[in-house]
Amino acid sequence: MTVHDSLCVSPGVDVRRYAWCYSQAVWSFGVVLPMLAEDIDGAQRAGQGHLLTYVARLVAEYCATAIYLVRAFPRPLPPTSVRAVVAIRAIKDDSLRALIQDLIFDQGSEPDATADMCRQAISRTISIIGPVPELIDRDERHRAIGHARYWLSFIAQIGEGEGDYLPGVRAVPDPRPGQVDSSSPRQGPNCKKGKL
Amino acid sequence: MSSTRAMAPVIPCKLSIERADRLLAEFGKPTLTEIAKAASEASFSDELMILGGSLGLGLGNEKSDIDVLLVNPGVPARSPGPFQFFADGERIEIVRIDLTYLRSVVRELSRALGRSEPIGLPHAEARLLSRVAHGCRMGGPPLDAGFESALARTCHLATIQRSAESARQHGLVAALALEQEDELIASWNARGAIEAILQRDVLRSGLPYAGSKWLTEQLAMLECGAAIRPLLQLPRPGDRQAYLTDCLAVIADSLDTPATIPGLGETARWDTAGLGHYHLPGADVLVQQEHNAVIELAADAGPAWAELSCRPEQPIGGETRSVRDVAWQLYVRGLAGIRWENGGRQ
Repeated sequence: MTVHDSLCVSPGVDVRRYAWCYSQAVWSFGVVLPMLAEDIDGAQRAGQGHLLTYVARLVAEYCATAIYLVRAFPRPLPPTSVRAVVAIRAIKDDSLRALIQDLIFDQGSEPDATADMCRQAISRTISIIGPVPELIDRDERHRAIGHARYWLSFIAQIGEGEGDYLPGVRAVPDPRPGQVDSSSPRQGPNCKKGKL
Repeated sequence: MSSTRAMAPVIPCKLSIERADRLLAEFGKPTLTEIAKAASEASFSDELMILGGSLGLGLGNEKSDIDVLLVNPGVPARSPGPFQFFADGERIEIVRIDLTYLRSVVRELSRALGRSEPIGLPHAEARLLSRVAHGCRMGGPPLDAGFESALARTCHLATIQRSAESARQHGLVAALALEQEDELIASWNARGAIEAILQRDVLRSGLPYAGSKWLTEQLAMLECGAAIRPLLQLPRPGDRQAYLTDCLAVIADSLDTPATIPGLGETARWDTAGLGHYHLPGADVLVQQEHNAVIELAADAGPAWAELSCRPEQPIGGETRSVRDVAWQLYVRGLAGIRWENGGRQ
């Protein structure tokens, strides 16, 4: 085994670029995948084919972009109007690219088949980008908050300040008894980063 | 083709408590009373409590989130959340919004709508406003009737205008991509424009803004948009030319604008802010400091870049093709943007 085999290096990638791209992949795109998985379950059980089609397109976009970020390290990301197409084109694994393309184009599939394809795409994406925060699960979200601390520490140590490294992650002041700071990706109305 | 274009908007009604309870029961969710009890852990007695999310608009399924919005009447230093609670395995997410903030948004939007100015309302803001304006009232003191009415009307008119602006923005990118012979990006955006046009028709018919997620269900309720609904499906490679032709015709008809780059780009500008030009021996490079990114400028692209960077107020479509080619290459890499008169950036 060579050194490269065992180290899984990302040759030529500056550490700040690596940190930005990975944190975007995990905290902007990966973080949404468990929520989309819930939407798939809900749409499939309710027989809401149109909702499933909508979610399939989002799964394709989020999976492709997350993979693009940790494979090609694009910084900045292309704008949302072209991002999905650029990201899908960049996927080198033919079978994975075909799977994600089918989620976008093969909209005549049976709902069960579409749902299975979505789950496959999510599972394969997570196997590439690593564990994603599950903020909608009562127990897993505590683990996610722990993961966020590692990321924040890493980002600080490589000399990057505040920015869009961990979108949506912010300190929640002094929760009242019984409340839990959720570190949800949704920004509250008074959050510093934007009006909503 | 857009048959509802001339219709006057109908302001949506709020979901009644009875209907919300029926919907929650249908999906096996806690009752409104149970949700309100859980939400009271995070709320104050002077706060209006609204069932938000899809369920608050009468949509959803058994896996839908239970979202609660609290409207703070103006007491400072209350955390905006979000807070999460679990009741019988169901997650309840609670977000607090300040009434002063809502009043300022309604005022700003009313002013822009009154002057027929573009509003540039982002999706997240439109979604939240819609849920505050039209979501089911489940507890706490009501807002004053005058503001309730202004909120519902302004929110509705703003989301209608937002849909038209979104259609134009997608349409422009589709036209630009088509010129670059990138049919996939063109189709992706043409589809986005069609979705926005259908969204506008749904809103005009009196349904609340629920985003793309529930658009098809809302269309089915109204039985409208049947003629252009097939265009929501992206075409396979061999069918893209015909698809794009159809979409551009619908866009032109719906927006009363030629679906060309100058027609759609009249209120748009290329935005190259943040890009610096450096001469090096044997190469010119463009540098974006914020993202520590660099791109080499081809030798023959220098004059086009010079024109692009020197004329930031030129409408898209008013430049030469070589300038547009350089701008597009920067755009798809995220190094340049499209700036709209409404202040939005794409």
